[in-house]
Amino acid sequence: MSIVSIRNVSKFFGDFTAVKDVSVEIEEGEFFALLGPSGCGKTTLLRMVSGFETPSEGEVLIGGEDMTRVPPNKRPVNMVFQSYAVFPHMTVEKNVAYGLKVEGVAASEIGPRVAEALSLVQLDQFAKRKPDQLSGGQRQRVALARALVKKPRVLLLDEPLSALDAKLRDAMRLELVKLQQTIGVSFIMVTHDQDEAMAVADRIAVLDKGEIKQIASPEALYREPADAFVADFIGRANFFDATVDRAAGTATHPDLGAALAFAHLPAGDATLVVRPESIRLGPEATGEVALTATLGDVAFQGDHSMVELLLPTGRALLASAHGETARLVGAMGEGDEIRCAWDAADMLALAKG
Amino acid sequence: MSKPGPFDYARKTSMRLIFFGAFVFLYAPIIVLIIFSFNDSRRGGNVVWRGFTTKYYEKAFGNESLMEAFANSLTIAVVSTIFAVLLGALTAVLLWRFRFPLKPVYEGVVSLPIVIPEICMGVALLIFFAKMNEWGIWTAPQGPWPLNLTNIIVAHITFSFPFAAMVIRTRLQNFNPEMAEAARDLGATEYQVFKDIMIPHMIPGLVAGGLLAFTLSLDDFVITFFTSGPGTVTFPVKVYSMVRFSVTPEINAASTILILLTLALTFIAIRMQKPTDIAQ
Repeated sequence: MSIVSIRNVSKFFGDFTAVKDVSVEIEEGEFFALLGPSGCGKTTLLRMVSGFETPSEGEVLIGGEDMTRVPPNKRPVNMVFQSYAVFPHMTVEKNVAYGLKVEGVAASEIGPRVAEALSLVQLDQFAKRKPDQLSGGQRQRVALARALVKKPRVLLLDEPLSALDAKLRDAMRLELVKLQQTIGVSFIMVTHDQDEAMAVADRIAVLDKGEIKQIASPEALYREPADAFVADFIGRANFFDATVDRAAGTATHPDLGAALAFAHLPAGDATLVVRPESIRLGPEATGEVALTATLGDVAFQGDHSMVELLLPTGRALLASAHGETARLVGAMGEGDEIRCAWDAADMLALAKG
Repeated sequence: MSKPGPFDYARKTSMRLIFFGAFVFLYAPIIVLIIFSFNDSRRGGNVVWRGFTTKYYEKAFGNESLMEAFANSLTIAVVSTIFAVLLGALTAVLLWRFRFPLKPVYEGVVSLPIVIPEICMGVALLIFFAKMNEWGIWTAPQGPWPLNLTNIIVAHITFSFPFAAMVIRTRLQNFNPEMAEAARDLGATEYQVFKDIMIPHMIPGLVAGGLLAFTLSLDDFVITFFTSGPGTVTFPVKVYSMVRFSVTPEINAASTILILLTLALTFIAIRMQKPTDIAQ
């Protein structure tokens, strides 16, 4: 059974449509991510689950019960806010205890539950500290403990890692995943960072302009994006707006030479997509698409290099070079000629996003 | 010594002289006033230094009508401060939290008493009280103490609550609304959010606003002069009436006490306004 059901939900702010007819089922014990660019409606959607916004249309069910119009203090969900919103005038302990206190939990029960929550996020030693004596990462743990101590059916996280520095962010990603697996509660996380979503989530919903573009596992999103928007948002890619010959089952683009055959062509206009790692480089590179380009910028990234290829038509492609190829490219100079090639099978023909 | 930089004003001799001159101009009279409160002068003015004494402090404390005026002033200040902070806090929360038609107009009108000249406020309040009396809507109680101070207290609340509202509103401006949402999310009702989260955040603003209202009330002369009845005297009004006969060190002593009181309160108010726990 799904723990959260969002059914045909829309939200209008005046003339503006923030969320448009969205339906999502979030499963028990799942780490679910809402991913999209800023202004795509992902935070509004999360706030409708937490109760801070009421849907203009549709309904929100939590644990099978209709919660569409239930205020936030009466919902079995808790939230970790972007700014953490740790209460500055209370100690860590009091912050975590607050939710139990207002709920009317017996004082004898509050102590052990607070201690348990604090040890879950490894803050035992900081119980008596005030928030201004904590680092950003520790404050976030307070926010997590404060939400988890309420034993929510679902934990909501609004851009939880965006306020942390890069290194801490990576560490916290892993911790969030571990924490979620330990307690087995469903997490719904809002993020604009595709790497973050890919790293933590079991399933991701990609949103754009208030609509869901695709719901799938991270791997499926990368390998089988529903359209060009998703392909562009998840990972890096090169795009070609192609002319489709539906009778022949082919698509053509002036930069790519001869028509390429595709088993699946979308209805309407097609965008052809090739990922950087699918482009073969070097003098021996051959394939259905074979081009001679001049070398642009080469960005060395350690285990691989990102290579900019300038086609004679003036457009730039992004390719990635590994191992021997990376060394070869590294030895070349900017403006040198380089062969690049790939097959139609390396490409996806997608609907325009 | 290196050449002063373009913005190194404090190191230019001319600037230092102007700076020093300004300080003398501002503070010399006050310092002289304090020094001469210890002057052992006889009758005939307090102009020539005749030796150190504290007897005028004793005399000031022994002067019954002066002490009565002092007690009146403190009572008025305390009562009007309580009301000014309450009204100010409500106004601040209203302006911070809600949107309503004509809000900018309302904001402007609320802060009008800050910019209206005191003399106009005084005259307006005098006419107001007189007309209320004439039409039988409201007659100021003549006694017993402290009811005879009612009109002055009402007048003081009128001009001091906008100041309190301003200070409290400034404090609310850096309240993170996610705090309130977090408390709601944890199960708090609207009232619990206000009591447990917003009031603790507002406390420095409430204290600072209160001290501001207190000092404003304590040394107000103009509005008090217009609104006080014949039998009620406040400290500034009393000092004024004493100066009309002769300037004795007794007035200096009483003024020194008032200065110290105001100074201490202002100092606390400034300290309370320092942003400490509002980071995030």
